[in-house]
Amino acid sequence: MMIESPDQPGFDQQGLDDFTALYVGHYEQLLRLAVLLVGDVPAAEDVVQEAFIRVHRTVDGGAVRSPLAYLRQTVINLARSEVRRRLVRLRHAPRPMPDAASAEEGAYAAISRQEVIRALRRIPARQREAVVLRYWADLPEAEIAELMGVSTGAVKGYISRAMSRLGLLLKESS
Amino acid sequence: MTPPLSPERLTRLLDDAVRPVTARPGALDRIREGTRRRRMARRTGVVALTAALIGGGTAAALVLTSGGGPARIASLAPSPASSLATSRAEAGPPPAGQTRTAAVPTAPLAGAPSGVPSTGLSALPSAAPSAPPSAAQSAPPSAAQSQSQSQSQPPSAAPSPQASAGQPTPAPAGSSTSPSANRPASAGLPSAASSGAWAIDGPGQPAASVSIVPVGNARTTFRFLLVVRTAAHATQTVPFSATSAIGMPPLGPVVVGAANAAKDGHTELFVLVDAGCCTEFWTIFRLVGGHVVQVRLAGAPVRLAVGGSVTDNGGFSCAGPYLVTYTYIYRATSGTLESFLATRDTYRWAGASLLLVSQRQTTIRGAQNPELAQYSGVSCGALPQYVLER
Repeated sequence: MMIESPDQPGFDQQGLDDFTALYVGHYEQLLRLAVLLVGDVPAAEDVVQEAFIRVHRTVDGGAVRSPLAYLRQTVINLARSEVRRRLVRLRHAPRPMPDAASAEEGAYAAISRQEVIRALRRIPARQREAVVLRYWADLPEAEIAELMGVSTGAVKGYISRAMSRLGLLLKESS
Repeated sequence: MTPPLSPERLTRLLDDAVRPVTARPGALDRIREGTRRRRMARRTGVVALTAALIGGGTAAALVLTSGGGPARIASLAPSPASSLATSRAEAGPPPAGQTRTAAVPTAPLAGAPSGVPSTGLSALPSAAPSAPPSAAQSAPPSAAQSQSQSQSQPPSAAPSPQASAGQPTPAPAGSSTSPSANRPASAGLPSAASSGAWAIDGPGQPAASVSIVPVGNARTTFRFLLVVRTAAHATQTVPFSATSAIGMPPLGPVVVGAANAAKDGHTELFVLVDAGCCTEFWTIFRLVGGHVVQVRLAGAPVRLAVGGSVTDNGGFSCAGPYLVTYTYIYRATSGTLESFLATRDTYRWAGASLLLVSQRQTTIRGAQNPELAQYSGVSCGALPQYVLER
């Protein structure tokens, strides 16, 4: 699933300011990327909206050459922080009451319960980022390496380990 | 040997998983609104900072910028008189990432240390005398008066009603017979925090200047430095972990206040390091052998639970050489009465550690049982009941 570019044929920017065009062209795909990285929709929405707020100023000022790359990088960083923050919270969260409403209740509960989403949650964050960017966002390894701030070899390693682990997890769950 | 997952199958699974995800109506409006508010707040911050600089060295402005993120400076007032003359430039904390500005008459403000990312300065969240903490709002007159009196004195000298070890603490300010009522309706920022210069070297000695500086991305980092500038012990830096500003808006970790918790003449510094919907976690820093350290409990940095909801609550009190923590948690409903497990742990101060002396657990029946109020709230010098607004 390639993240589409606004200059792709069929993308109509007429009548839209730069920021709105950016939103129309990328919001949904970045939201999906964030869902794969953080594992649930509300947190992903927070991440992507925050990323758009941050990029808004830079787009207005013309300070960013590639707003999409900036957005994608911001989403990945924020998603990483969200996962870390969640781990801290989990460490101190009280056990849920038997009759308390489950966090999985809601419109997007089905997404969180998807086997592949659950499997993604169980692999290390770096591996998750690499495999999602490679096989869902369809980015080349060199670009993933740049986004993640690691070498191409490291990306290959992450992807290889992630594929093995995901294969095992999905086999277990099925 | 498990065959590796094929890339095609994974791509298909990922596609299928997120296909139902679509943009919610109004998402673009929310983004635009967030952008607009941050822009306004940045402008406010610039104006207030300019005003503070014009005011000379007597005022310290706090500015929290959205672009680079927050840095926090707190507890700068060596003069008791200055501790009361606080003002708030804003009625409440701004949304995450917005510029926050206030002026606190205090000593000249020291900036963040070099080499540490810092894009702004922030004084401790302050409250004007006209906006007392929620604890005082909901507390009986005597409790409110006690808190008000303690604000006019240095924290180390502030008398506070303390429970003796082994005895339940009297219902602290802000608590009530109903568990749900323990959460203030409008928990304003604590006035105690704004007046809490850290008398690290004891009464009569120059107070320490304290700042919290994020390491790395100021909004998303979990690593922070507590920078303490003292007269007798030079500048010391203590790394600690806390929830990021984006996870605990608007500021991330903040200094709650200082209190002479161990009753040894030196005050301990309390810092908010995590907060959920209803419970806050505070950690403690103190001076041990000339070094500022983060207090540990059971081998890990101490995290005191403060506040809660209808199903659980927590608090602590300073009782002479002891620190007593309280918690209760809902267990079950039997007939018409809810059942809560209440725990009181008594710890002894031992250098950089808190050592468990005793633990007592009891079951309390009924959400309206007055006994529950003894297991929540903060009773320790002039420390507030809560820090963040909810």
